[in-house]
Amino acid sequence: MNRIKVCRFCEDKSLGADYKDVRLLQRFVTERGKLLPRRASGTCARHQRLVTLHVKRARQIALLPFASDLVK
Amino acid sequence: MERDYELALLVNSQLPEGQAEETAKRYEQFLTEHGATIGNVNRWGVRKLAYEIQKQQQADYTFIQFEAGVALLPELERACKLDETLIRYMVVAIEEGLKVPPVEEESPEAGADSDKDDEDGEDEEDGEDEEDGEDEEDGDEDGGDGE
Repeated sequence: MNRIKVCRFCEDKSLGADYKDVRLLQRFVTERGKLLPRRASGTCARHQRLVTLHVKRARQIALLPFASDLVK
Repeated sequence: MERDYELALLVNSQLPEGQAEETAKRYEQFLTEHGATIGNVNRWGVRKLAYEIQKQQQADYTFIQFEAGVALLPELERACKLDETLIRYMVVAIEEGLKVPPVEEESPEAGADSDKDDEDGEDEEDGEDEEDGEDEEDGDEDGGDGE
């Protein structure tokens, strides 16, 4: 269960983060829309920064929520 | 210095048919007139917003990639700011060496929430069992950088 995870982006070098890629970014936020900590998502420091940047951009143009309460 | 940028436009979807398209065209024209080179233009069409903006639940998304000098940006910003057909816009620099995959427009009804359920299923294989949405504190950042 708790195997050590490798960073997704390091694993797949061709995978680049983009703020338009909602599906991908959604894996790095909680259901309420908060960013997942690295310990949960397994991303390395560098790529966590990248993810963070793009999540924040996605929020600006309402592709991702800043906060969403009441998840069904 | 020329750089690559991407302009994201969110057009009010309540406007009459074809207006969004027209707005997008207008910006392409604006950019070319000001010496920019248009790259990819990505029209997503109407999509649900993750949160309400100006009382709107949805908006028409367009992404325009272009190459231009820095001098253009303030002008573009001004044009966007004054444009009332736009609900929101964003200009970002496309980082060098970072490939921007042409992101597919996903099914429009796949809004922020409806995706959640299948998302959970997929994550299982990664052993992502921590569900600590609540207990980590993050210094509430607002990503408000206009660049």
